[in-house]
Amino acid sequence: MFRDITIGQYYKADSFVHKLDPRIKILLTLWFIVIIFICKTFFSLALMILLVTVSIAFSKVPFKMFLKSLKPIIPIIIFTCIINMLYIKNGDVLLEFWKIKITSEGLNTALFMTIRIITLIVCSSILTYTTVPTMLTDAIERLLSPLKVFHIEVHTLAMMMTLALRFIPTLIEEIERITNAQKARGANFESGKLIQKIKAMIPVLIPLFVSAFSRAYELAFAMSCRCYRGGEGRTRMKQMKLSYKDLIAVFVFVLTTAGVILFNIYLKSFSF
Amino acid sequence: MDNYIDFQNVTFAYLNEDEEQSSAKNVIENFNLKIKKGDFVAVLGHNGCGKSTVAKLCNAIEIPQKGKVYVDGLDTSDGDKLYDIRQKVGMVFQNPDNQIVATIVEDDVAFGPENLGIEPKEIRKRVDEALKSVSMYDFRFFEPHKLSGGQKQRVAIAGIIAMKPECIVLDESTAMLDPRGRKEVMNTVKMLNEEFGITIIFITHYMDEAVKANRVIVMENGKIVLDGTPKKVFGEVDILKKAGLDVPEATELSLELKKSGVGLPDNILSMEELFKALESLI
Repeated sequence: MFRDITIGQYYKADSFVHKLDPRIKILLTLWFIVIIFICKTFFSLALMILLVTVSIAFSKVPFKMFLKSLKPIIPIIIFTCIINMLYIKNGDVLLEFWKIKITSEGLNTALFMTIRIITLIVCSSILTYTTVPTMLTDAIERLLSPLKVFHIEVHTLAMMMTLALRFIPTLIEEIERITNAQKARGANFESGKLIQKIKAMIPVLIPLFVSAFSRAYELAFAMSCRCYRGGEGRTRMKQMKLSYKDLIAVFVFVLTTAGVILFNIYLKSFSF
Repeated sequence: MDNYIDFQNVTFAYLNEDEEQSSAKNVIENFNLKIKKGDFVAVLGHNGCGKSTVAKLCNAIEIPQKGKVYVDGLDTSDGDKLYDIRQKVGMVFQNPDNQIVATIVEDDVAFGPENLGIEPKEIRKRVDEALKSVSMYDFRFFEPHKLSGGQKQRVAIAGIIAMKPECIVLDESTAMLDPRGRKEVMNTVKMLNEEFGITIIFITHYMDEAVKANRVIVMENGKIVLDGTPKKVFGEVDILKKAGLDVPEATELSLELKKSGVGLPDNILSMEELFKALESLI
């Protein structure tokens, strides 16, 4: 049943966003997060929404995929909305009953925060939908490589991430096998209270850990047999090269940032 | 250099860090073995006879306590030559899952050459060639966990070939595979030996695989008890049985038939040979 899982949430397509350099994509995502917090008016936010919509259109990832990625954060959005509406008391009172007072300012902020969170999630989803996990770890390695100056083992970290990704399906298969083996010996995983269920997992976890360690040992052997000696002197088959596409993307972001700043300054008085 | 791999009076024991050398049991003692370049050698033996240790001594994963192991004239105890030796002698292990490093087939094949610091363009060329030579080129964008055992093992072999080795050691690489996967791996290895002249050391306990080698070595308790062509080795049924091994099914059957008076020739190793011999009798 687990044989077909794919790690991460990569969506295979051939699009403009897919072809961008993963390093640029990571940097642009970070850039986006920064601007979204600079936004002060609804006009600048609207600009950001426009940017996200355009990016989605150019990524060829179906819109419902993004709705799916928003699902888990709905409680957080509702929670922030309620807190904002309840605690901001400035502005005109729109609704008042018992001790609760909802003001225009509160509603404004709640709406603002909601849009911020949604665009934030959608933007980072574009990154993970359009980039293979290994390319992401590769890009992180290359982006962080200046940290080598401070003796931080960037390559080792990236290698650990790649290996973790590589072994997720293997370990899932292993869990399945152990669970079946324990079931065949009469173990009960389905019934009982939560604590009993957790206790029932122990006979699965212990063999899993033992085998994970022996796998790690063998893997280390195999890696040193293939002349692995850390990041030094290592080359990569797949080179990351900037293309004119990356330039276009950066240019679009620069324009949007300029727009956001202009709107922040000149359209400040326009607000709900 | 006639002898590609040369074990000279090798003694080796697995030592714990705090253990004295004298208290550990020697896995192999005064061991001598010479393997010619381009040969296809099968090493047979019961569990714990030291055959995996021999494999590990071949590419400097383990260094002998006494004696020397030479690979293409290089001493494995020479630390400076470590990566030269490992590039020359590639190793394929038993469990294909535990030797694949990357999440995409072609990235995994590139791992070895990347470690050697080869130019990206050259790596690309080597990876494509290596994958084609094990007939896995069409799977280059696959994730390893979606492949069968035999396919994974071929990817692992491709990963070694991309490093342009002169010798490949397969340490029970077919033990976890189904019959089809075993056949795939065996054919690949045979082809590498014949077409590229790569020296093969094939450690196994399947007799029908050892039959395909040019030379068969049988080990027992860290010693070589039989050494020769498959025909010669599998003729020595008594010694094989004593070492806890079986003879190939076809050989056993023909021996039994001979005992009960059927006039078969000696040294029948495969079912096809047996068929032919029986056919000629009818």
